[in-house]
Order: sequence, then C-alpha cells, then structure tokens
Amino acid sequence: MRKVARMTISRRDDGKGVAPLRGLVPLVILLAIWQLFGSTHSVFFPRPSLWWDAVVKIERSGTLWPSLVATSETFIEAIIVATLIGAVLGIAIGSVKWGDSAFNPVLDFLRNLPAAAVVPAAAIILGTNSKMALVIVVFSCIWPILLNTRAEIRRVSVVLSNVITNVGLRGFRKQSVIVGSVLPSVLLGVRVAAPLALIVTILAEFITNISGLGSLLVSAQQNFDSPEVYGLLVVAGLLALFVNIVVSLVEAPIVRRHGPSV
Amino acid sequence: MGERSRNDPVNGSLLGQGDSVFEVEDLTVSLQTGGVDRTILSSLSFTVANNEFLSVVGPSGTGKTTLLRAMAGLIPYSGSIKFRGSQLSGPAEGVALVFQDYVNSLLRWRTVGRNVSLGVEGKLPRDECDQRVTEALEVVGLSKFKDSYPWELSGGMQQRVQIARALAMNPQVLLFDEPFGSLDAMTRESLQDELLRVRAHYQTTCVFITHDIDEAVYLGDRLVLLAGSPATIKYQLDIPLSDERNQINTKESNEFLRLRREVHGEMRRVHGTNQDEV
Repeated sequence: MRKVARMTISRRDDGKGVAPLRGLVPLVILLAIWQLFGSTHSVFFPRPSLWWDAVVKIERSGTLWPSLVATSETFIEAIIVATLIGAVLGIAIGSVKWGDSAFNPVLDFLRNLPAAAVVPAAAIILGTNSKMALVIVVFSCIWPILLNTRAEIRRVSVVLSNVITNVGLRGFRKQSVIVGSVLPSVLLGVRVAAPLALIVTILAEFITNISGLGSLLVSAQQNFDSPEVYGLLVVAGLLALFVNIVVSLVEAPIVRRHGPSV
Repeated sequence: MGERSRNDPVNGSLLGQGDSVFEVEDLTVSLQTGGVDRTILSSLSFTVANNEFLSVVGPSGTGKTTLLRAMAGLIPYSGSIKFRGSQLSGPAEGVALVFQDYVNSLLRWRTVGRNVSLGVEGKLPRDECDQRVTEALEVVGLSKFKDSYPWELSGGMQQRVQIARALAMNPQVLLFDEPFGSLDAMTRESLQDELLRVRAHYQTTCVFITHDIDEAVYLGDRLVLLAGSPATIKYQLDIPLSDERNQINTKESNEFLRLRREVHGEMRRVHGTNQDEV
C-alpha cells in the first residue's frame, strides 16, 4: 500500500520541471524552418535571427533589463497581494453561512468586469503609475484564488470546524489548520492567476505607457520595427514560461504533502 | 477483555461507580436546513453511565449525528444536557469525537503522528505529548506508520488514526459517529474488535452511533433506538452479553440472536408507523 503510494509520487516527480522544456521542441523546429525560408526584408515575417539582433540592440541601449524588472516587479507584487487578499477573503466568505447570499452578486459583477475597462477609472483615481498597474493586476487575478479558496473552505468547513472545536484548537493553531487545509486550493488558484496576472501587467503597460515590457512592445510596433516586436514577443513568452516553472516548483512539494486530491 | 469488568476502579474520573457521565433530559434540537427551522430531536431523555458503552441506532437521517453534536457541545439545544454533573454550554472538555468522514477530519498534510497529537500539542509538555501519541498509536496498532501521511493509508487505518487522535486526548467519553459506516464489512469487523480492546485498555465511556443493528448489539452494553421525525427515543434495551465478545461465538450465541431479533422487530415496528405518519 505504502509502496504504491510512494511510486506514484516519484513518478510525478520526474519530468515535472522538464516537460515544458521538452514541449518546446516543435516551436524550435518551426523557428528553424522560418529562419531557413524566411525573408530578410519582410516587414511582416522577419527572420528569427533578426529578432535576436533587435533584442541585443535593445539590451545595448539599456532599456531591456529595467523594463523586464519593472514588469516582473508589478507581476510578482500583484500575485503576492492577490494571494493574501484572495485567500483571506475566500476563507472569510466561505466560512460564514450568509456569505454566498451576501456577496455572490457583487463577486459575480466584479469578476466579470474586464480588466481593460477598469483601467481608465483606476487611472483617474490613482494616476498612470505602477501603483495603478498593481491595483489593476490584483483586481483581475484575484478571482481564481478567492473563488477556489471559498469553494474549498465550504466543502470542508462543517467537518473541519467540528474537528477544530472538538480537539480544542484556538488562536494561531486554529488558523494554521484552516490555512493548511485550503493551501492546495489557494495554490491551484495561483496557478490559474499567474498567467492572467502577466497578461494584465503587460496590458496595463500598453495602455498607460508606464515602463515595462508592454510599453517596449508598443513603441516597437509604433516604429514599425517588426524584428523588435517579434523579439520582445519571445522575451515575454520566456518570462511567462519562467513564471510557470517557478509556480510549479513552489506548488509541487506542498501539493505532494497533501496527497492525491479526494 | 477481563479488564473491562465494571468493578474496576475508574481511571482518572472523578465520578464514583454507577454515576452517570451524561444526563440528558428533555433534549430538543432545532436546526436550520435550507432556511427552514426544523426540529430534529424532540424531548429525549436518557443517561450514559460511567464506563458504559451505549449504542444509538436508528434509520439514516433520523438525527443521530445531531444528537452526538449536541452532546459534544457543538450545537445549541434546549432542554438539559449534564456532563459530569454540570450543564453543557459549549465544547465539552474531555469529550472526544470520532467522525465518519475520516478523509476530511484528518489533516492531510500532517503525518499520522502529528495528526494524533493535534488535540494535545501545546497543551501538554512536549515529552508527555509524545508519550500520549506513542501509546495511542500502539493501542490502535499503527506505531509503524507514525511518519506516513493519512492518504497513504487504507480507509480502516485512517479511521484508526482518528480513534488514536481521540484517545491521545485521554477523554472521559468517546463519541462515535458511524465510524465504520463507510468501510468494507471485513475491515469493519476487525475494527469493532479493536474498538472493544481499546476501550478495555482505556476504560472509557463510549456513545456509539450506527444504523447497523448487529454492530450496535455486538458492541454495546445498552442500546437506544432513535426514530421518527422529529426523532424520539422509541426503545431502550440492556445488552447482557458477556464482556468477552468475539465475532464468531458472540454473533452465533442465542442471546445475541435473540437481542438482534428484538431490535430488528422494534425497528420495523417504529419505522413502519413512522412511514404511515409521513
């Protein structure tokens, strides 16, 4: 019995970090074909080698790294804030009986509000700065975390609260048991929220032109510098891939400790 | 099983022989289900004697679990529940619950040992806590699995972890809410025997809820039949089986068969009238 369980775990361990990289092979082949048969002078489809030159050029000009850092900063801060607020609100709304009837309409309204539509209002209130970008990103990526946490706490709350009361847990111990039991669901929410947060971060940079990957992309496009556009696209893609790997690495050991889902 | 004799000195309890641990009088519980107030239990009166094993049987959905939750001080009630002489007005210290839903009542991210220590950690000195855990795991036969996670164990073993968690708290009363209801027949039988053994070891008062009449008769010293909507006590029965019980001899004995037939008959009778009422 135990051996079987251990085996499944170790099988899950293999390849979890490697799989996304291996999966990139078709993309690499496509780029190789593009490189071989593409045209140097095409405005629409410049060769991949030109993309590389374009990215190197941006790097030399000294704007690439600060932009990447700015985008990552907004993104990481947003994920952390969204996780904290989402988990706390999810637990709070999920554990009270009247939580659903009181908050459902509001939550449904807010979570269906397109992030792009919120940008102008946020710009009026906060101005076009990175704080405003942070608010927009948190606002749009908090929902998977909040709703997932709420669903989980509602699923376990009756039995769990009976257990907590019966064994006499109070204060910090009680809170840590509650957080522990929803942790996998919170992390699943983060997994869904992370790519969303990156999208909205770049979107916010598009619209407001605050420095970051998004504003670099917009200015490249406005200058009709298509190799640069493609090059930055690849950079954005790599950032997303990196984010996904980091999230998996953080999530895997915690989810493994909780065992296969019920 | 000889240790289970009722003349044994009481372990750690302040009560003398023959005193009641629980005195329930005119207990009525109403709960909100789907926005409607529904009376689940209606004026129940019974006692649980010290060191007694009381089986509570009844059809599913009668409110047996509600009764247990009231006795554990988890839900509001009207009437009177006296636990060791004083009125119960909140979670009772010294009452440990064992739930049917072992999957959700064990903490999946804690090892078996850390699950068992849940009720004592931070309340007792570290070494005493460890000692309680070791003893409880030994009693339920899971010493080897202290560092496993609950989800690595079978259902029966997980239920034993839950029993160990309750035992580690050194309770005066163990309340069981259909603990073996979701286990297969073979596991259930071996856990029934294990429970009798554990109880003999700890000399704990037990209230055991089940809808399985055989189980109720096999385990109990006394039996209470709960039925109706709202539920009332329809029938009480002493079970004068010897303390030495085993699956084959006890269940084949004439006494067991007689008791079993009687409870079945009673159940059919009340359940029949119950259906007529509805």
